[in-house]
Amino acid sequence: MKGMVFTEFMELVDEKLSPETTERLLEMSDLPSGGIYTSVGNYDPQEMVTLVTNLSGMTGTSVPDLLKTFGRHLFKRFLASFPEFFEGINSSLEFLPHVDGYVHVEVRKLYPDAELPTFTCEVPEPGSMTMTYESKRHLAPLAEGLILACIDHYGESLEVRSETIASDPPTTKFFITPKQT
Amino acid sequence: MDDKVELLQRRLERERLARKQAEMIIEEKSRELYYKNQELERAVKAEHLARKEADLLRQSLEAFTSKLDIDEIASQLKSILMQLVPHDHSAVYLFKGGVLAPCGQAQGSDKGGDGATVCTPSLSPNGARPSARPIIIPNAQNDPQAKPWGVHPDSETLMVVHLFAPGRVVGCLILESRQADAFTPTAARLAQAIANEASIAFENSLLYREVERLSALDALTGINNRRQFDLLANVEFQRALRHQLSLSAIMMDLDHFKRVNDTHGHSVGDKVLVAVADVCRRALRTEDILARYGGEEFCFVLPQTDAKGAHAFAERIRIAIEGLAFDSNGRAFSVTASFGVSERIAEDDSPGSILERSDQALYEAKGGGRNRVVIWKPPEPQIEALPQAK
Repeated sequence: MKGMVFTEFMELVDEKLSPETTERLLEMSDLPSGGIYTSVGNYDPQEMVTLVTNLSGMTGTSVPDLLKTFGRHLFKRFLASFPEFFEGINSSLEFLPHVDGYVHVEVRKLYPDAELPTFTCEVPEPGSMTMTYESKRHLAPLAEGLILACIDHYGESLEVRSETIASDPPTTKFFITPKQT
Repeated sequence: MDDKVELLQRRLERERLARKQAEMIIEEKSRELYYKNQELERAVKAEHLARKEADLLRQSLEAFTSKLDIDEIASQLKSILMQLVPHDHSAVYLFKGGVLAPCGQAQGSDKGGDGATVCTPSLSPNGARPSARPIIIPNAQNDPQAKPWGVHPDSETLMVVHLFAPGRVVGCLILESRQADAFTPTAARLAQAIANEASIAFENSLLYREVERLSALDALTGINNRRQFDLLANVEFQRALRHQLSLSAIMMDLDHFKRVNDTHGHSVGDKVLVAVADVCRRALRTEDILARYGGEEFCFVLPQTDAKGAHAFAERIRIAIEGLAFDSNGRAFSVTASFGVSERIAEDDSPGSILERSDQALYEAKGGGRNRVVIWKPPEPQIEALPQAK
């Protein structure tokens, strides 16, 4: 897993909780890498599972909720680092279909060894979208956080509901629909 | 407070290690990039070179196909090689009558195309087994293989590239260099590729010449056909006109030739035509022009010859034809011919008018009993017959 994900996670814990929490989390996780991460390295994804699980235990927040928060945080970093991906795009329903066909293609050019999930988008009716997420990493809540942050970025009134539709490979379907008022 | 310090120290240590790790990764990546960049630069260079070579090859192909002159093709070949295969001297040899003769204009540092370098090294039009790859002779000064090519005293290496036509060698190309390892396998391959293009052009040029030669000749007798006669006769007429020289034309027709064909068949008739053409040809001086004008009719143009001279010339041929003995299925026979002679007069503006008068004289010769030579005479003024006195 890309080192950037780990460094961002640390930053998020520093920011949302405290540097002390980060230190305690690292101490109790006893990671093979010693928690020494750099954004240019690659690390065992199992370490991320350990960190998230332990943080959940420390804070009492569920793992999916933590991942969702992390997803939101990553979207902001993503937006700052790769503004070119958002050029000429005016809504989340316009951006999300680009993720698989364009963003991931570009990401793969930059990081040929990246293991990327797949997204399949469908438009059941104008103003709505379903997004099928498939990944070995069980990080559907992280994806949901990213989607939610994207909707917030465009200031839209949409809500996201998720449903697990298969377990091998783990597949989740997100239903993005106008918010019920 | 101590906790805080300890925490910060731990974090600092981790940051220090992370930085080290990052530096190592970045260093490794930049080294990778550096090598990849070098690889790309090499590839770009090779690509650039290949494109340049391909461009020149394409240009050479175009240049070759537009040329039909052997010397021009040879010069073109040399100038292309000058750009693509570095060398100091070059020469192109083509087989002429079984021996290799140099061709193409000598230019700059080329080997001179003088007759002294004509030689027949191990190549022969059909004998030697030519190799599809050029022969590179590294020690050109001392190698006996290089000697026949008349190596320049400053040359170190020699390359022999064969020029192929389908199934045979038409000649070869010699490149010499002052450098010891001048001709790399790539250079050799390129030289062969260019030489192959030139070979096709050489072959086309030879074929073109042959076609041109054949289109000027009568297929049966091998003497000029009427088309070629008209061209040559005009040249001689203009020359005579310019220098006010005499010029005569003879029209000749075999007597009763239809009878020969009817009695002995057309193949015998053809043999008679060939034999008669042969007699005529042997009577010619260098500048005389002979042609088969059509059927059993022949014509001559004799420069610097007046009607009297032409008459004597025709008379010799008439006697020679009369003396020819033919045989058809055991039956011996002979033929005769009639001749009309005329010379150029001041009023003539083309060879056609002389030939026309010769034709009139020929008509007269036929009317007078055949097997004779008649010189054209202007028609006598018609005097109206006076009514006879009763």
